[in-house]
Amino acid sequence: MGRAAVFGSTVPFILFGMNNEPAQDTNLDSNPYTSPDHEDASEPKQTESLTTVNEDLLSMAMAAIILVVSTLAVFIAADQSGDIVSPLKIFVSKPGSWTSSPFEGFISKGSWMDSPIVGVIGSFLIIGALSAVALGVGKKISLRSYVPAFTLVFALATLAYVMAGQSLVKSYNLEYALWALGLGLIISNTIGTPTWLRPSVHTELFIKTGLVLLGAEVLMSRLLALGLPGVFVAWVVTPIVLISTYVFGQRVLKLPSRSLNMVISADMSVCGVSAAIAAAAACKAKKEELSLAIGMSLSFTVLMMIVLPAVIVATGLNPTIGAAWMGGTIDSTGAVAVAGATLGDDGLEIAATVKMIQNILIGVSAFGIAVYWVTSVERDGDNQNRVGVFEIWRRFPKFVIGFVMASITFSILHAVLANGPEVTSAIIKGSTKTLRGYFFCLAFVCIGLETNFRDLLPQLRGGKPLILYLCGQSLNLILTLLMAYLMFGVVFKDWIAP
Amino acid sequence: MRTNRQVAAFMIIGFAMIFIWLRVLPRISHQPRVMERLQRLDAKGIDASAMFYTELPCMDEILERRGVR
Repeated sequence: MGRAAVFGSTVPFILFGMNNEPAQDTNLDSNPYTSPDHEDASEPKQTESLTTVNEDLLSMAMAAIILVVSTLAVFIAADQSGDIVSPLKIFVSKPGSWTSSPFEGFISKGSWMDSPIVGVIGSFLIIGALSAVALGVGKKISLRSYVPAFTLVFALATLAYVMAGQSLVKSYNLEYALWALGLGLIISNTIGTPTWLRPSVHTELFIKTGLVLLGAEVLMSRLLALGLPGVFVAWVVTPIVLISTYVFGQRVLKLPSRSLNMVISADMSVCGVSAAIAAAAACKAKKEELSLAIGMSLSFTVLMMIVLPAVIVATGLNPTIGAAWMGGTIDSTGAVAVAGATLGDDGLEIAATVKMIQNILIGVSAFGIAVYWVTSVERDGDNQNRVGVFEIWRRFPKFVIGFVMASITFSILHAVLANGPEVTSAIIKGSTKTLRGYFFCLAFVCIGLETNFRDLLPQLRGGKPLILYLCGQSLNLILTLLMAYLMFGVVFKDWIAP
Repeated sequence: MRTNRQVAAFMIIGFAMIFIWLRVLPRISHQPRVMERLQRLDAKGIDASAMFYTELPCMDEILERRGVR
């Protein structure tokens, strides 16, 4: 007898995120390995759906615990010492950057307590303990099978950070996501992902926890950092490009997968990897679709980071307009800063600020995509039957609400508290940002471990995803240049100086 | 069932990665032009691998200059 039936109604489970309908096994909303007893991927879903809590609820609970503990730690430390710092900072860190030897990234020259190795072990213990409890309670995964599996997945995530931390690699925006994905793919496509590792492969849980934590970093007050011109470049052009690219993909290219179309459109128009992750989770995209979108985005980011500043210099374009153009078009934040810096300090400032404003759009896009998906795309899948409000709520990815709530809460803390900016900065930089990065890194390792290269090939057939990216990015380049010229070169020409 | 070929492929990729990361990349990183570029980025507080604005060290200074708290 199913759990819902035991309680006489499905309503409480719908409201609180209990999943009473099996998800498709290929998208981010599923994990056939939710229990060590479930060796056969084709078997477990019915059992899982009736006896377990879905990842949305678990991820929101994990993120909420991290955010509350991090906030309390800063308040307690401020109360005792008067300094607004996070006492958790030394216990939460990732490997640092290095040039000659990877050990440089683990050991600092000062006290050993300040060394990243302490923080890496701390992050392992925090994430390991939280996820073990969440999966033990929510998915009935035994501690004995989870601990060794998680230890190896965490070690792979740390190795991905080490690879991304090499100075040269880092300077070309080759982010940890790429290496985490690559390490997982190498294992799964050569020796195969060992069965004992399966209990820790929880892409959805890690990605959604990371996204809710990311919500805390989306501070609305940053929106007006560059006044109206910044808003026009980042918040007017971006949605136009996102929607146009998606419509182009559906109507002209006729991409078979709507979710792939959406992930590429969001990734290319909003802010690269982070937007791709949020969009993929919001539209329940397949794991290989997210991998493909991120691969394309990182490749073109490296290219644009080098080519765009050269074009701006060669054509003699006004550096402010050029910087705003790059801020609105280059996918990744770090690459925007590198490209902006080639135009001088003002170029770096304008480019990075435009990108930051675009970063904030991530919450609105994830919410919009989730609403569109449950009210339109999934309704079409139901042969145009009218879908009730209750059904929409049941299908709605609840973690998006967690993301928005985290953003609103931290925006209010930032605006209302006397030392709001210092407090939020201490919370985010002291612990939540690093833990969020680790959750994403773990998710990418898991995606790699679950993906077969053969799964990627059908997505590449006909080169349609690449054509979509190229056409969308071309439109992005044209519209952003026009808007940057209009805003920074005509309407607010004399208003931009800091 | 794991075949010898699969294990060999895994080992070859593994050794290639170790060689690239421990020998090739450090050697390139120590070339004067590359070193200069890396130091310039460091001095400006630019983390080229930043995924979100909160990961960019120079962002605080930029926001302060613009009078945004």
